[in-house]
Amino acid sequence: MNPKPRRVVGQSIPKVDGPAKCTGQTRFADDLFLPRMLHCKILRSHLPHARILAIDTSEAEKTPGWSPF
Amino acid sequence: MNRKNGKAMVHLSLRVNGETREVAFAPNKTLLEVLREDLDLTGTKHGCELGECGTCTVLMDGQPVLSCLALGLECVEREIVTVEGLAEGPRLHPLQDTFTELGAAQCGYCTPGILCTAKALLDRNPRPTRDQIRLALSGNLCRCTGYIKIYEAVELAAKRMGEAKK
Repeated sequence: MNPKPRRVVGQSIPKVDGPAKCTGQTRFADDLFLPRMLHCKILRSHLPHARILAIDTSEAEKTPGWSPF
Repeated sequence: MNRKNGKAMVHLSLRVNGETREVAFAPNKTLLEVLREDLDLTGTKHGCELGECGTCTVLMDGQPVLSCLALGLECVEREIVTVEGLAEGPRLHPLQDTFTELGAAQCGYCTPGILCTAKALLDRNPRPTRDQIRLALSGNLCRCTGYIKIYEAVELAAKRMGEAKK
């Protein structure tokens, strides 16, 4: 039995987000600049498997522009 | 060198996408940072920022360059072209059309770098073989497409550009 042609599945559909991505207009998260926005830096564990007992932010708090999140 | 908020700044004219842009920035900024943060050209993306992925590729005097490894200062009197400069007004570059039509762009993050590299290839070699395309794009990583559609899009753009010249 031949299935009837579908509107989307099996059809070649134009990629509506294509032109914006190919012209650099698409805004990814990293492309957003908002007033007074904060920037974060991730501190990763140097241990592959451990339990977090405490987090000491005292050194981070000395950074100019540091903000409690 | 001037100071702004206690930080040294350089004031320069840069040639970007056919325009002369006056811009002030800290002298240690990379071209990638100057483009994205001071010139509001966010089309060029941060990738690895180590020179390994090609995401940040722009054209400098027609040659692909990793903007994460170039200083903004180095670009004085050079013609910089970014993805935003590939179209001529409303007319997209043939590569931008074929990448859309053939699905060579999926998430689109590597696309600006790849388009710049591919444009430089077609400018110097209007009829590249598949192997020549593969070699020219070997410095641009893509995690989405598996590259085949990208090669096909470059080939189709080259074919159309060749036909347009006749």
